[in-house]
Amino acid sequence: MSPPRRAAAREVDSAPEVLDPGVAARARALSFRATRAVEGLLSGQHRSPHRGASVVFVEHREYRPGDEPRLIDWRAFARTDRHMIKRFEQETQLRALLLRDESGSMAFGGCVPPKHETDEGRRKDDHAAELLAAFALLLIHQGDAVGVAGFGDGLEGDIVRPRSRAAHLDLVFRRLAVRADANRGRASTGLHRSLVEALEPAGRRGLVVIASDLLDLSPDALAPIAQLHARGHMVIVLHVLHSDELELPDVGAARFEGLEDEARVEADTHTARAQYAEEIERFLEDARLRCTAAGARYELAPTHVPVERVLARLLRRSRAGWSR
Amino acid sequence: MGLALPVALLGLFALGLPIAIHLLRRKDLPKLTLPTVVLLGRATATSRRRLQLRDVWLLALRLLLLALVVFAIASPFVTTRAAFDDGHRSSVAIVLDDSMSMWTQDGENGTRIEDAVALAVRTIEALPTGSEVSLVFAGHPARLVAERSDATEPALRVLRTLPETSARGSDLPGAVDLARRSLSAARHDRRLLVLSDFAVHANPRSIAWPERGVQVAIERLGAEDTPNRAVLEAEGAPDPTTPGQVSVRLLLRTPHHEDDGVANAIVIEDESGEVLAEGTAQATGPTTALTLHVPAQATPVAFARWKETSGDELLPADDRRPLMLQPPAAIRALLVDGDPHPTPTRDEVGWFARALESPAAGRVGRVRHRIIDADRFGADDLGEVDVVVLANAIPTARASAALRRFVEAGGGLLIAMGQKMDGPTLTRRLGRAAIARVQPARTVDEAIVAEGAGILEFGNARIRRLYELDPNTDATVVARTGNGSPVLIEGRVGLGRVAMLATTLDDAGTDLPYHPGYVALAHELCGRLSSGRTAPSQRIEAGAPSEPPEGATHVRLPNGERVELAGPFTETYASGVYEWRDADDEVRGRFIVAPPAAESDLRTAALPELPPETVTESGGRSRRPLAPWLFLLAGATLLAEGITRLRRPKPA
Repeated sequence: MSPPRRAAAREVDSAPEVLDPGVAARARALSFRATRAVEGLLSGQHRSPHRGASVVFVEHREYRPGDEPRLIDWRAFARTDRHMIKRFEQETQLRALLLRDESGSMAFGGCVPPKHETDEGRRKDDHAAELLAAFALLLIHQGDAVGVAGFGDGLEGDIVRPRSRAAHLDLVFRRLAVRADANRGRASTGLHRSLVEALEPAGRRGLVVIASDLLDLSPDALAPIAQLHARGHMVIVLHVLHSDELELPDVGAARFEGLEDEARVEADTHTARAQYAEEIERFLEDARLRCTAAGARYELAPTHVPVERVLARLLRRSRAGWSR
Repeated sequence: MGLALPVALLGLFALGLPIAIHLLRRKDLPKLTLPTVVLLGRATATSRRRLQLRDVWLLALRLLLLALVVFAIASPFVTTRAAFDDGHRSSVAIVLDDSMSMWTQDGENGTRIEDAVALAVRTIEALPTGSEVSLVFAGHPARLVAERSDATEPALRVLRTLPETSARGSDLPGAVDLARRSLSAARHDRRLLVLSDFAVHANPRSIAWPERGVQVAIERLGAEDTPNRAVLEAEGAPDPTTPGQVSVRLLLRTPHHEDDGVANAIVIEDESGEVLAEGTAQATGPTTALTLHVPAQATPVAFARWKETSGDELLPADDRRPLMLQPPAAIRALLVDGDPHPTPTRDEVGWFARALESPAAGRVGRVRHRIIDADRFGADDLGEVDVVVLANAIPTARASAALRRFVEAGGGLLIAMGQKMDGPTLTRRLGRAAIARVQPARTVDEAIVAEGAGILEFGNARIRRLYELDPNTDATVVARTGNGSPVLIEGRVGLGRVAMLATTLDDAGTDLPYHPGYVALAHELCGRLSSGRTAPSQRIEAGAPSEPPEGATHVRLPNGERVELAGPFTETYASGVYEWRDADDEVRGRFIVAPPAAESDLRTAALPELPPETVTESGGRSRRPLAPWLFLLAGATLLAEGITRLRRPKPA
């Protein structure tokens, strides 16, 4: 076992429960349906690009040699005097890859005592882990395959390949229990590289869920999302931010330091809060636009908003269709 | 601008304290983590600059505050070029010293008097309309030259028409007194400005400063303790040993007597500049005596001057001194006979009178005498007399008072002893004119010995009855007995000279009348004693009025200018030779004004102590303290610092 893996293992042993039992119970009651056709090894409840034996009629096609004669629609033959066969949708299982941002910035748990009860001492990576764990539980509960990977400047740590067995859920949870390390060299967020590296384990026509603070302000950071989308993936971006990031606490003059080797900033929050609010609003809007432009579905997931609420909103919007 | 307490500037080192605190405080800012620090950086680009600016402003205010306090403690002041220029309407009396020493060329812009005039003019011009000005000159005699008036033009006119030179002495105490009186019943705040060099001869310690209610500002002009070479005295008297020759006794001020290389060569020259005699004094002290001999001249006026300049001649007026080589008229002696007798040889002044009547070998002038009995001697008898001889006589109190004034005005007095002489009475009546206390007589038999290399010859004369004389400190013993008792003493009193003979004038107490030298002694004594008086117009004090002789219509001044006479002549301020002239421009007489020797002493006296409750400023350039303003500014800075500090965000 390599040193990072040993460290990760220790982290898991000492990690808190990834998923709150209450949240887990509520997650089991939810269901997720892919809005795009997916390809899975096993049959499932998601629409597949292939035709199969489901009850959902799709089209008539003229009989060609090699087709099974039992598929001939005799009623259509009677009407048209041509041998036509009925085609039905194939329903398959979903292959989901959950990508969690494990860069240094995700280790942020607030710069002042929390103002929301729900995010007391809550780190962004914990929140992201719980979100993804709930999602994994939901998916596996409905028979889909779920894999997990973490990324910082690239894909890092163990990659848990998608499996659909219930026992696989424990492996997923253990992987998600690895916390982002704020002191591991100030790892920066390399979204572009990480997503490019995620193309391979993601496979084709699946679901990719990215939980990140998106604090990679480079212009092409989210460009690989479009590649994922082009490969038939359904991409969901959970934008995880702490409440102190969304609303700068009124602490007066202070020296602010980032978690990824950013330059220090001395600021007076009395005067800077308004401009900061404009900046964060601009940042959120930019992230949302870039995600949706790349074909992803964007959901803001602040740490002070309970996981099940984010999940419910995500699923509700999924059923209603995503705004682009 | 200056600092009264410059050592307080060491407190500026404390400026490092707020800087250090500032730097430490910057480190003390709480450190908070924020992943979106980049966004914060964008958002606070403006506010951060404002915060830093505010910090810098706060630091600057604190530094300024500290610097202001330090400077205020250092008591800075600005020196304005005019006194009393605070804009208050006031009544100002300006005392301007116009004595000779003020013409010393060591002022900032030339002579001291030029600096003083410039200061006085600036002071007057700086006064607001309605202020009153009076102007008093402190040259002897002190005089009010511009009465107190709200019209400043008269005072300014006097200042602008100041003469180019002066030989006046100093009368600073008198001038301050005049100024004080000129301010009585003044309409505005009373102020007194004194502009002088405050040299030792000005005697500033005897100034009676005004009591309460008068602001006094004084200004010392010129450099301190300026060395000055000068011809202090020059007196010509006929040389008894060489007929037709005049002895010129010189007293020189030689400040660099310790420098071997400094030559003190003196030249006696006549009016046309022809050198009559020259010699070099071997300076042994701050003053050096020198005697030169010149032939008797048809024109009795000569000048003594330095042969070479040495750079110490900052006061030109005392480097060329006029002198009279011979008296222009006979000496007039009044012999007061204390013991008249029909027989001349038994008369108290018989021998002396006969000696004066005898032609003295080598004497240029002659002595006319008149005898009066002691009990008839009164003040009226001093009218046309140059020398009074009191022979065994004590004048009445009234006559004694007149005699004192006579001597102080330049007359000569010879006091000879006798049986009627009473020492205490003589001292009481003549006051300082009695240059020695007279002790009771005793019988002796001793020779008379001339003191030093004197020109008086006593031969082998002996003395039998001696009145012991106890001379004052400023009297000089001319002759002594063999065992050292003074026989003849001489001294200056005012402008005159006094001599006292410790025995009788006749042969009752000495055999001196039997000796041939007695004639010469009589003439010499009269000549010496009349040196300040012989020919009343020969020498007068600068500034003193002089009565013109009969027939004189105008005066030719030393600089060649002509002044028409209208009463007593008073423009006797310059050193040099003045000529009385008649309508035909013929010379009817001369007199000289010689500079007072004391004025050549340019040593600086300690400034007079001013009563603190009456003094608000010191110096003609008024000193304005800046500390109150600095403290005020510091208070405003403190306020600004407080406001800035309150508006500054509190650290988390």
